[in-house]
Amino acid sequence: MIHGHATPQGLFFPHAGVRISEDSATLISPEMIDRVLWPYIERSVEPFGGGFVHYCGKHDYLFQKLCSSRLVKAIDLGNPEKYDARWVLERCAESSTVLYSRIPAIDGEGWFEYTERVGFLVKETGARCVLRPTVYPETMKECQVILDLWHDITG
Amino acid sequence: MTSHRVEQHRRFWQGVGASLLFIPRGDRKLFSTGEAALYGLDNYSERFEDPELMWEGMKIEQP
Repeated sequence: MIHGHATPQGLFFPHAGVRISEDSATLISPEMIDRVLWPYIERSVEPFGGGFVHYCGKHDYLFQKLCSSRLVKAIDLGNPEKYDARWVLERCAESSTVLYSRIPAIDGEGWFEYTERVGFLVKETGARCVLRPTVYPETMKECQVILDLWHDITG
Repeated sequence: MTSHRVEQHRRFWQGVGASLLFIPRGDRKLFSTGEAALYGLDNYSERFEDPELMWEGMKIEQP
């Protein structure tokens, strides 16, 4: 599965279904999501066995609605900075939805501190996460350090 | 290395093992400032039709 959206890495994602973007959905009310949008989301992903959903903007109801669906396997937030990371991870953990997303760094936060903070947050909430870090080192040796650190904390 | 990574991802999607971390590839300084192209567009039409070619063009740098 190739996500795109500034994410050139390929991801082995068996049974992911189909990737969809629902940016416009953030502009409508929860009632309209239920009545107008949701039937079409389900119809579009069901033939593929599920969906991986991206959207930009902020809409708490949409996020929760996506998490509640057995058809939604993973969610990517285009604007994770608009959300409380703990809230997002808790919703994902409750519903066994994978968060495939960036999580913003705190101002001035270094890559080691960032990896520790987010890693422990993932561990505490019990969420399953594919993190695209927003701060990261420049050398491959340092990248291996944060990769090992991430796996140690979240494993 | 690829098979190890596939196995790691397979376990992840089964709910086993650590979460995953995707560190952006390429020149990290340029990447962080947005000055570098995120996608290579060479032969993109062919790659679009051929997942294996697309995968080859998007491989993650290995430590």
